[in-house]
Amino acid sequence: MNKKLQLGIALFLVIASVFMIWGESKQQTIVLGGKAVVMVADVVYAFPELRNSVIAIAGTDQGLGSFLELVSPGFLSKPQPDRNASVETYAGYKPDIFIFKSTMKPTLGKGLEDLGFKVLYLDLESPEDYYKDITALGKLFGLEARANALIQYYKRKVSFVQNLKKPDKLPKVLVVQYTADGLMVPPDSWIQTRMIAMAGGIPIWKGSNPGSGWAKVSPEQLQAWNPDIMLVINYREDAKLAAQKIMKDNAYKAINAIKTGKVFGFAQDFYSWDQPDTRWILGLLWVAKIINPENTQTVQIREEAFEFFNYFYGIDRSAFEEKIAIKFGGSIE
Amino acid sequence: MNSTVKTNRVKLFLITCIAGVVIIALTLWGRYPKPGLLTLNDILHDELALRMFILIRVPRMVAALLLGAVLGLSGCVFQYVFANPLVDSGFLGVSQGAGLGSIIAMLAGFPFTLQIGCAFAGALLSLALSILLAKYIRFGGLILRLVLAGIAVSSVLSALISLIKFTADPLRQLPEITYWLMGGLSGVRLPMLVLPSIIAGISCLVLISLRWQIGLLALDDRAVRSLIKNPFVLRIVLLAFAVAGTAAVTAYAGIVAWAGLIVPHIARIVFGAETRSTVPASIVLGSMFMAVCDTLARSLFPIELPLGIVTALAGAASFTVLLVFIPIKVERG
Repeated sequence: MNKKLQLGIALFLVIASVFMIWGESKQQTIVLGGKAVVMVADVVYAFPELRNSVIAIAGTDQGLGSFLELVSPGFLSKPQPDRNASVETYAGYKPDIFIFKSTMKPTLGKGLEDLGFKVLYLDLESPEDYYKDITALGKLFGLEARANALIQYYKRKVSFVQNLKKPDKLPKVLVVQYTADGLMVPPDSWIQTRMIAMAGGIPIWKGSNPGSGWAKVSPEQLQAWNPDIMLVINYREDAKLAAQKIMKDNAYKAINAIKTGKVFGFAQDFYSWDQPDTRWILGLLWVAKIINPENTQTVQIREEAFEFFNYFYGIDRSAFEEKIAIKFGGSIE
Repeated sequence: MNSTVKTNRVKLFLITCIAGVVIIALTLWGRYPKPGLLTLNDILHDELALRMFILIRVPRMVAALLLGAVLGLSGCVFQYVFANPLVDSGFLGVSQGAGLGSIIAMLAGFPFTLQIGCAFAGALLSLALSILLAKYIRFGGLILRLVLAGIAVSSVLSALISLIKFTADPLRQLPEITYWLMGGLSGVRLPMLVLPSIIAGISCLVLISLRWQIGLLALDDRAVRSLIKNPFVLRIVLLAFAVAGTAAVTAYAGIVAWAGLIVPHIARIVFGAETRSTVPASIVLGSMFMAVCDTLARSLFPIELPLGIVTALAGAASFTVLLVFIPIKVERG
């Protein structure tokens, strides 16, 4: 190798190293916070390049364990401000960017913006919001390719569900959250209502809850709806147990879904799959399999879940089996 | 000028001076860069600290002083007008009316100036309804009838606010309404205070100029009629200006309870029932009370506490102490 070439390679390596070091030192720091930070964190951590940029994150445990510690070991040792922390508390972290749910804008985001911080707001409430917010994240951090890949994954699965041959008679489906105090239905605007319609069912409670949160329903009303299928959510323990309690409850005995044994605990791992978390796509596939079993025989929820966790969070087969599948609750296959 | 008035003037001057020092210290107090006082070194060498001081703490302190002054003064006026130490501007549904007006303006997406107008309209409407209803109640004297009418109107307005909350969009409207209803100053910026300051300033000036007549209203009906040409008109004028001030501050601060009830009591304990001193003292003490409460709300914990909760705790505790240990000095002569 002649001297000029050697000198050229050496010079190239030096310049490349300088750029790499500069690039690393320019890595942006991120703080995730505010209410509903679980959804925000799960979508940000779907970008592997951003995981080390997060310098503080509000508490994300919904009571079933910390999922992101599995994705990014050391996650739990990061500073964890309270979800309701004040502007001054958050400002103390001095990150380059704050990422919050858009509902945090009036109470938290505006104050931080006034102080000169950059704040990104994510809606994360519907499939369309997910496409929009993932695009925004990709654009902001120069990770458009990853953003597009995630969106394509979602769109592929949604398209699969929507193109399934529908049953001759669409089943009447009821989604309820189980609490010790009774059963509650979600409002029309929430993703649960959307999931049932996308999967080919009739969300029988639609129109009954004009409110802004879960609303209690009486056994009498359940009887009047007389659903063919009931999907039971429980955020704090295995939803399958809640479904069994409903099956045994005399107050609901005459309901069609109880008589035919079609009461299912909503699928869950660390979090329930009915929420507008990144997992909503697993929730949609699972609902489609429950509602439309004849046309979804090829869908294996366990395999779909592995594909999702592998694609979004880089979790390999053994970690999936040992750390995630073991957490499965509700009626998964 | 008798010696009591002279002594009260000296007391008021001293309390105002102390309040000034306390307010400066409270403005410097916070959680950034660490819990405690912001030092001169912080302000000169930390750009974020300087911005925090100018853009967050100073506007909040101005807002708190204005809020406390108006609520203290209007509470004092209400207590003398109704010769009842247990009323404040929330009485006769005024706060709820202002709250309902503001919420409707928020839902309609009106600008802040119109929100103040709606708050004012709501407050005046509730006052008018209470007075009208009192005329038709066939039980008790004027004061008792107003109390009963106020209870009915407040309940109806509270129910309407709950109904709006129940049906509000959970993503865009509900967080804003809920946060606003709990009372708070974290979203306040200086430009928002211009119009409320003008309205509240006029209200305070008029009420201070009428402080002599306010004191006479605490006498019995016959004495009032012999000393004031038209006591009914005077009462209406006083209430209208008290309501205007309350509506202006409620529009930016939300519903903040207890200040209007407790501050006039403290003023009477320090200055006696003589209104030439009690009326201005309610302004100074109200400002100080609110400055302390808001500083606690934003800096006691890493999280931001809603101001309404802090004033309720501080107010209820002080009120209990006053009722148990100190005689109340407003009563019909």
